[in-house]
Amino acid sequence: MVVSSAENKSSLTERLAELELWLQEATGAQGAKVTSAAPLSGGAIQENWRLSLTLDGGPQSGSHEVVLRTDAASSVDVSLSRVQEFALLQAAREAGVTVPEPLWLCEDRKVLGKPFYVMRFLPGVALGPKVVKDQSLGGDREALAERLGREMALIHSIRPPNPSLSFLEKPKGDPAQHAIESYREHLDDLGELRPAVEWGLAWCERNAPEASDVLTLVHQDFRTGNYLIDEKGLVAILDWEFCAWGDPMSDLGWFLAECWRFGRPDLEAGGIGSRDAFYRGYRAAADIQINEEAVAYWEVMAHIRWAVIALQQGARHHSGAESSLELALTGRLIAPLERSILVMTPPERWS
Amino acid sequence: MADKPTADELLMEVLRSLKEDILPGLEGKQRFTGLMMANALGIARREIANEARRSALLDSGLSGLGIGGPADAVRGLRQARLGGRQDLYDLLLEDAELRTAIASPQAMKE
Repeated sequence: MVVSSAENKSSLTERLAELELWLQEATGAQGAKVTSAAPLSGGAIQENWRLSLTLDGGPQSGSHEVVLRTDAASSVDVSLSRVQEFALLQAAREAGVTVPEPLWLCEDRKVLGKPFYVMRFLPGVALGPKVVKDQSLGGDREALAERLGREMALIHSIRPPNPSLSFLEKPKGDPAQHAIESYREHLDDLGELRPAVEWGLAWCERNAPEASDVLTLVHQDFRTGNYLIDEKGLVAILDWEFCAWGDPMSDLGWFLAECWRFGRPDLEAGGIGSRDAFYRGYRAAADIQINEEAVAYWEVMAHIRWAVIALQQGARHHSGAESSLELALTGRLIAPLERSILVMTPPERWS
Repeated sequence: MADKPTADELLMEVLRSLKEDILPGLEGKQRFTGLMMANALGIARREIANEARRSALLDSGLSGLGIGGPADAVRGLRQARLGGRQDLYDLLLEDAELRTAIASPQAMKE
C-alpha cells in the first residue's frame, strides 16, 4: 500500500489490516485491499483520507475511489458526529440533494479507535477563491447559481419530525433570538469585548423579522467554498457537520452574505452569480416563499456569526492550543467583518 | 538616532525576499504558506506604522462619549441603552476602518 507521506502515519495507516477486514465484512466481499491512502486537506475538524480500494467478490466487486472521514485529534464542540453526518448524507441523498454517495458506516471503535464512514470520492474544486476566479470551472455561472438555489430548496424540503435525524436540535424559541444569545455567550467565553459586533447583535435583537412558519433542515454552512464543482457545473454539496432544524431564511442569508463572495461583491450569489438566478432556482423547487427582508436580516447575522467563528479560530492559535498561521490570520479577519456589520446597520436602519 | 535598517525596513526586506526570491519557486501547500507569510508580514508592517493611533482611538473615543470603555459599551449595547447612537456608530466605524486598512486593505475597496 502507498501512503503519500511518511509523516502522515496515523491511526488509519497503523490499523490498515483491521480496516481491510472490516471493509470485507461490510461489503460482503471475499477480500478487501486498500492500495493507496492519502490525507486530504481541509481537515481541521475532521480527518479525511482518499483511499483506492479493491474489493474481491461480493455485490460491489472491483476498484473504488472513496473518502474515509473520521474525527481529527482536536474537534469543535458544535459539529455533529460522523455517525450523525452519515445519516444526514443519506437523508439529503433521498431528498434529491447532490451529495457524495454515503457507502459504509462503522461505529465500532475497535476498528480505527473512533467511528468513521466511507463515501464515494468525487473529483472537483471547492476552494472559494478558485471557484470564484477560475471561469473555466462551474460551467455557465448563472446556471450554477440557479442550480445551487434548487439544491438549497431540496435541503429545506427535509422537515421534522424525521426519525433518522432525531439527534438534530430544534432552536429554543425564536431562531434569531437563539442565535443572538448564543453569539453573546461565545464572546463571553472567549473574553472578547467587541463593541462593533455587539452593535450588530443589538441591531439584530431590535430588528428581528417574523420567524418562518416552517422549521426545516438547515445546512448552516452552505456557501461558496463548501460545494464541489468541475468544468461542467456542480458536483456535490459538502460539509454537513453543522446541520440543525431552523429557519430556512438563515441558510439563504449565509449563502448570499457579502463575506462569502471572495472579492466579487457584485455577484451576490456567493461571488459566482446573481441573486435573481439563485432565487429563481430556489423558488422553482421550494414550497416555501422567500422572505427577502428576512434574508437581508440573516445576511447581517451571517457576518456576526463569521466574526464570532473568526475570533474562535484565532483563539485556537493564540491560546497556544494549536499553533497555525492560517488560524492566526483567520483571527485577523475580525476587523473587515466588524466594518461590514457596521456598514449594514447604520443608525438610520434602526427601527 | 535609530540603527539602520529600522525594524520596518527589515520587515520590508524580508517581504521583498519572500516575494521575489522564495515564492516563485514554491508550489502547492508550501506556496499557500508562503502567501500567508507575506500577508502576515504586510499586516505587521501596517500595524506597527499605525500602532499609536489605533491603540488610542477606541478607548479615548469612548471616554469622549461618556462611555467608560469597551466593557461599558458592550454592557450598554446589551441593555439597549446605546444602540442606534450616531456618535457611537461614527466612532466604531472609524475604528473598524482603521483596523481594516491594517488587516485587509483590499476589503476597503469592496
